Amino acid sequence: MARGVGAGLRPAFQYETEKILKHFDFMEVSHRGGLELIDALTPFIGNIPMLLHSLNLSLGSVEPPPQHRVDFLKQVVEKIDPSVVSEHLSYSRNKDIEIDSFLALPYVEEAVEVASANIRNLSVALGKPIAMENVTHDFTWPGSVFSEAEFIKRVLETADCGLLLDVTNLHINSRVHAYDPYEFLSVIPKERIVQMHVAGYSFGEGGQMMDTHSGGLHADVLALVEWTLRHTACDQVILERDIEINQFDDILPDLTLLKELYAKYRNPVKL
Amino acid sequence: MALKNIQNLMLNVVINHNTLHDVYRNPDKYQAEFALTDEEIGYALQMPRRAIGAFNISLVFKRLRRSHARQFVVRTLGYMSNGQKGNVIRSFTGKYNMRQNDWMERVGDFLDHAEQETFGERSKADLVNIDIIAFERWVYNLYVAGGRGEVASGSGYVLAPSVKVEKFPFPATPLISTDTTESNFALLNKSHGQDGYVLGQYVHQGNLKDVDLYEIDNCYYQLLKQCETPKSNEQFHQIAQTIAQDLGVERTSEEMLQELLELGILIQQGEVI
Repeated sequence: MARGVGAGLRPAFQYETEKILKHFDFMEVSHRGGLELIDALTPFIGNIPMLLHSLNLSLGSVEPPPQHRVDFLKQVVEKIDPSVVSEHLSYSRNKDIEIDSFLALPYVEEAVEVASANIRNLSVALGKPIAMENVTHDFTWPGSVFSEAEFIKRVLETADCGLLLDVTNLHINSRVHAYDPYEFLSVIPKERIVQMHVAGYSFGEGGQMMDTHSGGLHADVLALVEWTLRHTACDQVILERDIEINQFDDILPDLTLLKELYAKYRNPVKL
Repeated sequence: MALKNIQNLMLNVVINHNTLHDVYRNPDKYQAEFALTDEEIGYALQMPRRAIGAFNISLVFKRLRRSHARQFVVRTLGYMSNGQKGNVIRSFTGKYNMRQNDWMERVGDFLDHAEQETFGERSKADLVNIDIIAFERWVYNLYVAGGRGEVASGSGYVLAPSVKVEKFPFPATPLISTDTTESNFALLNKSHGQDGYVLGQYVHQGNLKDVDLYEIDNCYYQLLKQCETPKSNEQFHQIAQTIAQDLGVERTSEEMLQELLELGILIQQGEVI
């Protein structure tokens, strides 16, 4: 069972097996459908707990996810035996259009029902609990009847799934849409928060905040991590890092920071 | 509310800048096309056009980062001003409705579009950019040919089908570089008009397909250009010696032949006499 602080395998350090096994409490496997990275996991399978993070099922789409993608994901599940499979609470596909980004769902009852049905079906198909991630968004459908937090709460309860709380996304959304992230958290059922994503962010040329998964964790994001560790039983903290990596040591400072924070509230897995 | 219709509308809007603006101009048309209620088209018109426009551009770049195509347009995009980049991306999404991430199939279209739309005024800077685009188009075409370039018939030493050489109006080093910083662009601007010689070699190992780029000198360029048609042993040595002599290069024809054969740049076709 995965617990503690982990991160995803990245090509820049995928061969630094010893360091990965020493510093990761678990590994998050991001999956878009290719087998290349799965092959790279061979030295780790059985040696470290794993989580699976799916990227392209679009569980908020009215059309259910393509069966071949679910089947493929099932093969990965069988190979790495993750304790939880996560996806994004969003949509990115309709008919022949598919985008590589996540669109926030309209916060309405029909979207709760659609997403929840897809999540439940996925959980049954994979035989694993599902956690849904809150996404960043610069715009939402104006006809929403729920707040974002209320919408997420309804999906979690209707689908009976967990929340992968991306604290960086929450922080960015709270700034862009001018809401209090702690009020948001007060709406979410605490027992549903099972995983956290933590990443650095940056600012675009126009000053807009961007979830770039860069290095260096901001204090306001770390404060949300600490709040979550203090107030919930969330036990899987995942560092997200996709840029500015040339070797494993590049992610070590952020990983160490999260482990220190984790150790304040939980028994550390690896010192 | 019909979630399916709203999702359909939103996905069409975020992939195409023209559709985004057209919804605000012709709401009745889109209400009918996407079967939206009066309330739903009303909500659609309240959508923040600027934020969706920014999403549209970020989506293009996100798709590009996920695609192998990035390496073929990195210089063209990298040397554009932010204003030019925004304009060319917006008009590109309007012209080519990319319903999937088919960047790899659109590289040629994109380079043509960038040339026509962005550098149409033909100022000095535009001419530099047009020559950079021509270079990226050459690299992309070599990739698309996939090592299956035509080899002239006949026997002798001949340029491998996976290899092309070309002359460009820039020194090769800053041109080949994917460092698109201002300093590299300034160097390209300053040296525009100066000949540079590039060798591109299509490589295919396992799942990896790529074009490796190398700077070569004028001596190798002229020699390899000649070898686009097969040359006998005698012809090769004669040509190589003449070129080396004319250019004052201290390199024997035998050294050149050995090196080019070892690197797979030249191949032996049929019996070499």
